[in-house]
Amino acid sequence: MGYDNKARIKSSIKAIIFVGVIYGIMKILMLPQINIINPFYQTIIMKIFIEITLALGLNLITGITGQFSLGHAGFMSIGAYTAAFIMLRTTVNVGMIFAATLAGGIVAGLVGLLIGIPTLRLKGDYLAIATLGLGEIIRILLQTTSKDFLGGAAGLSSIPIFANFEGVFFVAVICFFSISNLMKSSYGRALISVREDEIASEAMGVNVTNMKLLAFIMGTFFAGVAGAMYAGYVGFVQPKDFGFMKSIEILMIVVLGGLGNIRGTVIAAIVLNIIGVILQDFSEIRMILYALLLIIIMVIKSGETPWIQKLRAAMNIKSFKFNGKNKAGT
Amino acid sequence: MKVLNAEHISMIFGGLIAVNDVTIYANRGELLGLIGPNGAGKTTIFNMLTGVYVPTHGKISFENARNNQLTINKVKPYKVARFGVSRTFQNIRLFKELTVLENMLVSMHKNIGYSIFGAIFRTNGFLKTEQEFYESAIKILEATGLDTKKDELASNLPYGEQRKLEIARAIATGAEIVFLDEPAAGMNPAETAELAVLIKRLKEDYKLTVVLIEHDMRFVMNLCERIYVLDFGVLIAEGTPHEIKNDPKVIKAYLGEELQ
Repeated sequence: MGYDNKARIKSSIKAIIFVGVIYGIMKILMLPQINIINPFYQTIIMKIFIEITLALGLNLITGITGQFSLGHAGFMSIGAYTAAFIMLRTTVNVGMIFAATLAGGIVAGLVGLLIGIPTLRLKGDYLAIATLGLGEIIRILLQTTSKDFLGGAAGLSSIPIFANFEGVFFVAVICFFSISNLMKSSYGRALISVREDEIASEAMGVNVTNMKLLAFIMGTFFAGVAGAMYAGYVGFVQPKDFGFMKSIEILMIVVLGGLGNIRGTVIAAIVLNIIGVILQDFSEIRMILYALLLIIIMVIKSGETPWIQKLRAAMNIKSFKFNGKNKAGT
Repeated sequence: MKVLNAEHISMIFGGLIAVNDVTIYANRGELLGLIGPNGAGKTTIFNMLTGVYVPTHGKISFENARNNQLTINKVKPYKVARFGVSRTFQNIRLFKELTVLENMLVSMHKNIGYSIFGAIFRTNGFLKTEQEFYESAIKILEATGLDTKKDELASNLPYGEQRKLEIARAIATGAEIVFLDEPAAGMNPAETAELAVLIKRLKEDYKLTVVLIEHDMRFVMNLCERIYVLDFGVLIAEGTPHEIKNDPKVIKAYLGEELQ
């Protein structure tokens, strides 16, 4: 195990170089003279980074800690509305953009804390239904607000476009490294222990409630930050953008990438968005394909028939299970 | 000196009296046995002692080496664990997707010496704590003979070693009292004998007080210094292995009579 200082510095330098190279390559490809990444592709890449941030947050809650949440879009909307609300009332400068994004994350995290305290007592299906309901409540509350405050059903429009490529890129990078470093610490192990066996975890002195709340607050914080970036990227927000289907879309990225698999989430977000772009002329088929993909993944990951088991072994895929559910009771 | 004192504890589930007015205690460094037929309430007592269940009646208190007292009445299990009381489970409850070493490290999370930000930014406090955790986990793993398998997933261990890892994990919490719920269940006679030696050695090395539930009578009679016998939630006998063996009530309820 690399707990010595040298290994730490080495891995940090490696990570910084890696991020720098990716950023550099994309920047070069974006140059008007080269124009491989044209403005159209650039918007897609920005969308991918926003979804990576969202999905990483949900992966922390659902994949790593095992708390099945279906309300992630609700927290995203809180961040989006908070940032939009601030940006519509101030001048656009780097400081304000930073403040608005952070405020989006903090407000979403606070709401996550408030909602988490009562709902995280629930397990498995019940938690999923509760978070689904809460996500919808947030959306409907936003819909019923007055026109001058949060825009009601029409939402907020003509928000200054404050999220640029750098913004969404570094938000995703910060999110990725925060979560992956957390995973390599004692907190990460404690979070996984909660997923694996709550009763044993508590018996070993882990404060299970606090761990669940930690995951929930961090996950919703990043959802809020991603929401803020989303508001600054499209320029308008309306409640119907943050419905149940949005939560499902984020969950799909997490499940496709593998529950608890951070790198997988990044790859899945890229793959799903590319599929989305290819199929954008047939938007109805896109959702059918999404649903089909989800069914296929579920079958491959949890199927018990011999050929599926063989396929799983051949592709080196871990069997999939919802941990909150299969270990209930003492 | 009593490290565990449970006075007149009862547990009533709806109309069922699972444990009825049981009084047990443990002296420091003792190795106690808790035996009785299935459904006698042994595991229920363990669950009460570790805070999983709140006793309907009665009082449970612990005392640790620093003479701190803890009376558990609606105290959450993790707080009981942090006081120095740990346990294993009848049906193995390891963190299956974590490695052997990581299972041990989870037990030490309660002594964490860095914040979330320390974890994200990999501060010196983070490195120091991780190093300390690693060293003490390895020490316990060496004592149990699991150190060569530290990087294997817990679910890939053979059954006997999973049981051992559970004991090692309980000790890793820094516990002074360890409750072992059927540690020898499903083991063959050779493994059981080896386990008895291991438990005795760990008890001496880590200055533990051990309370164990077991159905293997040879194991219990050889290992335990004092034995409590439960039947239908009631304590029917208490004493040394020799006394228990010859107690007519115990023979009738649990051990069985010899054929005439």
